[in-house]
Amino acid sequence: MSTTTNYDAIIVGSGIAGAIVAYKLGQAGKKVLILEAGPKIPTDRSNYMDTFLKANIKSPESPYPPSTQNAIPSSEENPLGLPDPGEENTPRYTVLQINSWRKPKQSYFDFQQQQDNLKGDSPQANFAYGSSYERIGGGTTWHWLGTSLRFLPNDFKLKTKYGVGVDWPTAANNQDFYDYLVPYYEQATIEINVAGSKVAMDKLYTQFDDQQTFGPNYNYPMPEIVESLVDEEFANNVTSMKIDNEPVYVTSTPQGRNSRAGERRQCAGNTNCIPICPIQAKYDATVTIARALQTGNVDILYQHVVSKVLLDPVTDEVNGVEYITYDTQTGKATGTDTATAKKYVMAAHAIETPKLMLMSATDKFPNGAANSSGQMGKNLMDHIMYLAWGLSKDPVFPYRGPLSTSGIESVRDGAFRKAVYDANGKLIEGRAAYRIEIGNDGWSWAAGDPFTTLGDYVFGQNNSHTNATATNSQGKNLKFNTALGDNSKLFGKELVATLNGIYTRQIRLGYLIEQLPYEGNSVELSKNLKDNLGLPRPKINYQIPADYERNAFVSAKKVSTDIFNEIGATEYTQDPGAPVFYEEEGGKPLTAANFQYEGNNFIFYGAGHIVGTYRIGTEKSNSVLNYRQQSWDHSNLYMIGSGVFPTLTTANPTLTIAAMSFSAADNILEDLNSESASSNAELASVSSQNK
Amino acid sequence: MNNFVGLSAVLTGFAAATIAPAIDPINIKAEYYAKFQAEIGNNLFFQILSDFQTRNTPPGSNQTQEEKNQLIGEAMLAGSNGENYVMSCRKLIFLWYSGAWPTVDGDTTSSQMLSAKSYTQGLAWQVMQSHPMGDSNYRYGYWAKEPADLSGYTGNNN
Amino acid sequence: MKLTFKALILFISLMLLHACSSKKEKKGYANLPPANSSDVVISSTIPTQITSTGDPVTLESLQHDFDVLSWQSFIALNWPANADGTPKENAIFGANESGMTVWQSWKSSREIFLPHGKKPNAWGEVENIPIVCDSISAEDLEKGIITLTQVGKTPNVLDESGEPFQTGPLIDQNGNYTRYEILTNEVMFDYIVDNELYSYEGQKAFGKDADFPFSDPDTGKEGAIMVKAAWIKMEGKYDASQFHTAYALVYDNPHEQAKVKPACSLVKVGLVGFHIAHKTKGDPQWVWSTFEHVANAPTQGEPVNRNFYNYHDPTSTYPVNEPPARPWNPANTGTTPTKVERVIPIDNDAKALNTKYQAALEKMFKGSVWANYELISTQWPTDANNVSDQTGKPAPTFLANATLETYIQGKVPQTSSNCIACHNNASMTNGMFSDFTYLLQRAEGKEIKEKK
Repeated sequence: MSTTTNYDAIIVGSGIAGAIVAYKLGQAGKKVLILEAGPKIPTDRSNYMDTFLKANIKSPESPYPPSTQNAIPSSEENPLGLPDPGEENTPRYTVLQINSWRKPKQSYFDFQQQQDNLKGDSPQANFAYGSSYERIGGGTTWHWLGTSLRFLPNDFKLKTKYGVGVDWPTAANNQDFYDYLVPYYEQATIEINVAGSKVAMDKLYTQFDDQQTFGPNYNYPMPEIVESLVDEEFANNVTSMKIDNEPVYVTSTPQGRNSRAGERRQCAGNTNCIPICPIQAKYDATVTIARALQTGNVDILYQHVVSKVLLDPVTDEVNGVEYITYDTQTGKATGTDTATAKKYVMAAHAIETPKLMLMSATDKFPNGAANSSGQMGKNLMDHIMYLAWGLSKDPVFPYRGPLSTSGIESVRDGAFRKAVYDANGKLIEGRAAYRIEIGNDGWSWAAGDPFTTLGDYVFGQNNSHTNATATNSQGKNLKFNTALGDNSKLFGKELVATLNGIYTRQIRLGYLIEQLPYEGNSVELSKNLKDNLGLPRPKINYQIPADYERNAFVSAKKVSTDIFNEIGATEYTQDPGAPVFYEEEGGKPLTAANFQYEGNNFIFYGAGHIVGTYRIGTEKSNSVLNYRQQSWDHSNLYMIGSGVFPTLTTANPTLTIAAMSFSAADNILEDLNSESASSNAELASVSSQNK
Repeated sequence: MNNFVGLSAVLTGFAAATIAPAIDPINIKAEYYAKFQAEIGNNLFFQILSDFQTRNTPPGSNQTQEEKNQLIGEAMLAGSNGENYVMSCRKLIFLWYSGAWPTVDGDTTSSQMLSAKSYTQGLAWQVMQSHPMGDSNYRYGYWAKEPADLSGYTGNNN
Repeated sequence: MKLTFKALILFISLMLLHACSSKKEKKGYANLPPANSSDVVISSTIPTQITSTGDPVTLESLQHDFDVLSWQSFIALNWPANADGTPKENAIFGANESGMTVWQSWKSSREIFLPHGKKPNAWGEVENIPIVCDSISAEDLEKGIITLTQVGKTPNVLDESGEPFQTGPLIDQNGNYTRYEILTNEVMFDYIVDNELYSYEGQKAFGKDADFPFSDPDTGKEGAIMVKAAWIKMEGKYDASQFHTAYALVYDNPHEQAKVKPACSLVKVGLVGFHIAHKTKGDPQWVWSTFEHVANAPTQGEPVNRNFYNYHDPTSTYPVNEPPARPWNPANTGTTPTKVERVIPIDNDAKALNTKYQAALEKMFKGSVWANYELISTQWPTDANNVSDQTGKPAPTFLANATLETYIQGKVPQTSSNCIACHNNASMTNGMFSDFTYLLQRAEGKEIKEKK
């Protein structure tokens, strides 16, 4: 690592966005420095894997540092033994913190106070944010699922087409943003080495009105991952359903895992994509970091936490980044310093990036760097998920193959997205769109299986709801084996048969509901809570304030029941109970993600899709970046990653993050080269003058 | 050890030769034996194993081994043995199926994973005719086909 | 008399073993022929099955038997060879230490999987060496040839310098990259050629899992064997007299890493690591033997008491078992040497066996370089037909060669080096199982370029 290198670019963050820009710049001969807050990418993923194997709760973050559970002895206040984020140098949010969201010694995030007198269906209710990320070399793609869908062309035009949300900006010459992205989608598909079926994608894309096919003249680098028996159960039996006039059919999911041998191994169906693929059949950003380093033009410094972006008071250019170094996770900082380059690229994911910018306020930019619009940190979104689960009629053998190999994509778009309001401004028609993910993971997410059902039949409990007399809301019997008594305790042959009968039938659907952008959903700096480096922790304000998204929950609930009926399955989706917004002595525990709507109790889950907090737009006044992902305020500052999305859309974000990172790289190179061209021209003219 | 394995086979419904084969490079039984003993204490531990040995007589002339195993299991789990005794046997079942030692708290169960190895040896994954999540020794595409018969996983006729 | 009695005991104990097991117990390692009274056999015959010393058969006795098979295989494969690759009769093993061995006469990966999926030349016919090696003068090549064989065989081309799955290169004490090559025996080669598996189109037409022939003790026919060798340049700190050496064409392969330029040189190299994978009857997961030079690296938890290690400088502050930083390029000189430690010790029985064999080899020929090699272990399936575990519950569960799987040594399931588990994932370009070899995925096609 040369301290005297003159860097063309500094990139903050080594996730997929930063890795792609580093790679492209390094390939083009530019000198790049990546500053990563977290630890080094290990040569061997055994330490992460070992941590995962030993973990009691196999959450998405469970393999990765800092420790996610059992860090300290269990207590009534802290049964999972969550570490204190205030004592960590790179703390982060995890799903295990969700139920402790009001406990600052367990939850990394600070949250907004609840208003008084809320009712169960109050739109102003605050919730715990549902999704998490990693602060390690290689970033959050260590634990992504791998789903590599593109957005639909209509996704970019929500406002124009459906009267909700915002449109994405157009590109140069008024080009539609989807069209602008198509060549970058292709680059992203190749970099991630997506396995998919173009035939399936063409079919999908031609279904939605006046949209073009998937893209010109190219194919996926590898054939699609074979569908699972669970997929077939849905595909074969759901043949004539419609949701809001859109046909329902199953589509193989394009995914970033090897269906063929390559530099990395072919998928062996470890069914563990989240949280970690042990054989790296699934792509993660360490692949691109390796390529970036191989160019010989990229340096990376780990355990360098960027704490401030420095602004030149005269030119408004970024003229440096301050960073803090540390040795151990809970030890003191080991030093601070500043790094400089021509261009600066923020790629620390959609929570840490706005946090950094908000920490970088100056007199001229009192609301934070790059924040003349006031939009920094705002419009925080996630795919809020509805889960439905059940037992199929006959065994379909879940827990095999990747966690998900297919979905129902055909319902992602349609007239149902159009919002219609009455004279009082109440929404009378229209709902958020969703895609439906088919899970191969049995009830592991929905019910903590297989150990929940195991506990039921070994100790006579009923947390799976299969072990006692009951009916579901359709009046179907839930007790799996009616010949057994309630709360039966089994052993031997009977235990084998019962567990086998239940496990092999477990199915799960997940609805990724598109949350719209709201200014009130935001990331701010906590006034009170700090991490071990003394930096403020993020404060999250997060609500589901509109009927538009809540209507999607109602739809998802009904559709699940309909689909389960079509395939002859018995639904086991549980009523999550009414929300509890206020802590009371001897009362029920606070809920984190429960809400009521139209007489239903709902709970939402996070999909891991943190987007929106530094969006691109057409106007300096209402966005942080132009369509080139360049700050309106500081011309040598770029911001990349999911924070740039003006809307969340109906697909998992990673492929689009990658595509936009490729486009950002092009833009940065264009700017670097035009500057050196013009300065060369200046030099030439000066030297010719001097002759 | 033979009694421990025999008892475990009867309670779990998996064949002894499956959970503790003659040629056993993994040897999870040793880890579970030690854990069981440490958790329930020597007195109860040896009493349970001794009772099993007493009850584990060869099947009668008209009795299959399977039927005999059923009776042995019922005898081991009979309430008359005492609550602690029976709960310990049930915890042993949970241990074999999950690789984790359970704590039963009224209506719910939590558990502490013993080791990386024990997680990979959990019988729950076998009883579902699959593999532990994160530990597949199958090959690409297996998920598009039905798995082998359950009896291939348990070693018993199922 | 003695043999019959022993066989009787074996028979009875196997019967008892069989009686104890449930109806569904797989056959496993029953009916093995009994072993010689001495473990040590120095012969050019490659064994096709283990012989049993166990009475009754146990995990430990079978491990011992497989370790003996490994030593016998190691010696037989390294037997001095005639020009046609057959072992020289009446050769004194160890006498001609840098002559061509049987396995060095085999075809290497680059001779089988040709650009554009072209059909390889027949066994015994020389394959074209990389164009850039053509620049090496005929005189130098002659010297290489004379050292290796009488007629016709060009020096082996060492065209790999990275460990599997981009874990990294291994740097020796002179700052040079370790070089690797993979070769197959004629049986394995024939299967590939007869079924046209050397090309993308051929594999597509084949359309099913590969299934190489196995060695059959009943007929004595040799089945598929593949070997992987690790070599280092004999210069600087290395004393060539301590190694099995050869002249080889060391080739910087641009397909390995971005920015590598093709280059070639004729170099004297010494053997530091050697894998043998052998498909035998009853072991559909193959039998995996691995050997190292005795001076490669100290073992964690054991004394660091050699004056010199091939891959470990006790005074170095470089982190243990860490590859160098990227960019990786085998043309680089002066890279910081890797500081290697063996993570899993060689077990006591194998150590004792090593001592026995090394003494016998030294006795066979004083100063034999082969006494400087040791068996690390042998991995074999204990339950080949297990439906839940297609790796057949291998023993030992984890196995690594410090020169070939340097960076993934350990005991973590699925991530730490485990020969059979890793090779279980091997497939060919048509997506189908390639029967435990990663070679088949190297097939090119008429139009298909290098896969990512």
